[in-house]
Amino acid sequence: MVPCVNTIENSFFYGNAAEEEGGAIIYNTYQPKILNNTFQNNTANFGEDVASYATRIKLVVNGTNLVDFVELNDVPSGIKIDSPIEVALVSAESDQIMTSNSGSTVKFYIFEDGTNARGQNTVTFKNGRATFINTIFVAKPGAKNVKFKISSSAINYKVLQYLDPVKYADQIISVNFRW
Amino acid sequence: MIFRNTLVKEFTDNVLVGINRGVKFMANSNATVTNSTFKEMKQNRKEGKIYYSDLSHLGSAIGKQID
Repeated sequence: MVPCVNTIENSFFYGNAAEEEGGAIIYNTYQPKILNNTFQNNTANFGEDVASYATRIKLVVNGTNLVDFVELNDVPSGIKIDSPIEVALVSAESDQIMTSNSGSTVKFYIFEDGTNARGQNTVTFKNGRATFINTIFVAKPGAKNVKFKISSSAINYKVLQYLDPVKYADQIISVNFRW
Repeated sequence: MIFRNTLVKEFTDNVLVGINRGVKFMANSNATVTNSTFKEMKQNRKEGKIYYSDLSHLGSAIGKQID
């Protein structure tokens, strides 16, 4: 692949429709510069104006707020988590949830010796969201900053690593275990 | 000139109305769309979850090919 800088500017998109994704615009690799355009009444199942591809997994807080998924606190070791962990699949368009994605999976992976993520360590996205309920994390009780990796089958990590290996580095979660 | 489903590198001062699919950026190019209007265009194909094989058929007005 050759790095591309594509630009869409000073244009008007009105009443365009896609049955699936990208009522007006869709892109699959390099994020175009979309500058000073007007979008009106465009429709699609996902991305009424602009759609792109899955890039990250975010943590859903209080059902609506998306935050970078970097940490879990007060996690019990060896028993089921006592609070559900809801995650969302977001696209290259900042916090746009990939509502068109159902059926892809998201999974916690072991990253350090002496740890485990078992029970329900894999869940399936429905409309871009998924919830871990019966997951069991294992480490020494009271251990801090224990690393686990989270990844999704919906994300093409090979492409992301090519585009920006820093921005799209592996998503490593720090888990702080309770005593 | 008909732009239906057309590969472009530069697309300037054009108006597209009511056609099925619009323009696709050329692969491996720094493409530009400027001062153009895309109105009431439709993309009716269902592509399922084929994310990286043929996205050029998604997006009603502008689709980006694999680079």
